Amino acid sequence: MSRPIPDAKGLVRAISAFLRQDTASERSSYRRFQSKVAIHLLRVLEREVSERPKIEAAQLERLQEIFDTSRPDLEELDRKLAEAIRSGEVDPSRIDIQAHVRKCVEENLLVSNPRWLR
Amino acid sequence: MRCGCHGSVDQALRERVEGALREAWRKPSRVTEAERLSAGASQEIWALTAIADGTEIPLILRRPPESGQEDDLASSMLTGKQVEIELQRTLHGLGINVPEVVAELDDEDGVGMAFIMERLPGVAVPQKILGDDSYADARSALIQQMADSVARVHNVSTAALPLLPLLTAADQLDRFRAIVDGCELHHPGLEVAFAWLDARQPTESTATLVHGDFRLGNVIVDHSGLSGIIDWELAHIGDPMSDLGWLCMRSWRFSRPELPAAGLGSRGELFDAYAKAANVDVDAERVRFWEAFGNVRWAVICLLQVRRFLVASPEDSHIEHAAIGRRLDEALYDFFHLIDEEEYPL
Repeated sequence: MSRPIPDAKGLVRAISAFLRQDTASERSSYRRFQSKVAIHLLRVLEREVSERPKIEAAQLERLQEIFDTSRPDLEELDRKLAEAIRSGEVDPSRIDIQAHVRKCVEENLLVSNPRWLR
Repeated sequence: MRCGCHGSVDQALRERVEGALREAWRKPSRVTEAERLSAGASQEIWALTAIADGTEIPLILRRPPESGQEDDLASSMLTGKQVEIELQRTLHGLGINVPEVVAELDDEDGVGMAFIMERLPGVAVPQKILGDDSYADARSALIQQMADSVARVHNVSTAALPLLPLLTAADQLDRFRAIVDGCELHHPGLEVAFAWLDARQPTESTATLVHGDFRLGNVIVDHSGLSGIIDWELAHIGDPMSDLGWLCMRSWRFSRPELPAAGLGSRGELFDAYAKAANVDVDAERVRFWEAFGNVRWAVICLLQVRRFLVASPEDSHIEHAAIGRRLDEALYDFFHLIDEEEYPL
């Protein structure tokens, strides 16, 4: 196995450490705030890389069940669902749709901010 | 000028500030300090110090962002600078605790209208207000003070005010859908939420002045409590209960999520305090609708913020605008949690 090092985690750690060093002596509180945001986003990115493929596979599967189709295009089915709810073509109170949108929010939070989940 | 910050107040702007102050005060002054405050994601907020007649005068400069080419989508949510300034002047004149507007800067450089106001004593930073021991007294007084203040805002005769849009839930939902479309986004979760809210709008209508973003972060607090209400850019005419619902959102509880009313106390305490101040009964279910609505509104505002990042040139882009897009799901999560709960916890 010839996977290069540092791995994704290692790269995130390197950039975060650099950002911290870079702004440690920064006088502007606004600039320090921005670098905290940057470090936070790096952690999100790290989870994004590792989790998104699994999340998208699960979302596609749920959408295929909602529309009773085997079409493999997540983007297309997602758009179709949004449009169908907007136009009133599907009933948004359908249990499978209600469950799907809640699940999507939870999946996204697992990446963006897992501590928000309760 | 001392200014160790990104995007400093440049010489040209400083001269305009000094010019506007000279006109307002009828005497020369010098701007000696300027620090950009991190608060205010949609505005640039600067803490300035001016010296006139040897006296230091603390001021706030509020202006549209540097990158601020007018964004029609974003402005569909905002009152507009001129109205905001007029509103703040009017409310201050009525004795409501808002900072006095000192001077206006015309839109000479195309970044949009800016204005200068007095800097009230205290802080707006929620983490300090909720966390520092020195604010313990303020915390115990704040719920009643916030309820009193917002009740006074709701009680202002709308005839005295500049022209503000009347926004029902339905009007706002139309705008939200237009914003989603304008962002070229398809979002089943938001669509489900819009449909849910559409079907449950309050029927009887009460319409008063509402602040539109009433929460910690938009009130100035000193060690004894509330000294002023700021940030009127989302003010409109609407259901006063929308201000209470917004105030209870988890997004505004910061380090104290277990305390629904602004991280300060329970919903019941807030509703009692408001009922006492406004001499009305608070219909908790109506507030619940507006809290749910508020979460969806905040989700849409997150979209608008991330859009500012997406359309900005690299040198004008702000990382916090990108980050805020990732908060949309927090708001939607809280929306679903709130509507799934059988009882609205008081």
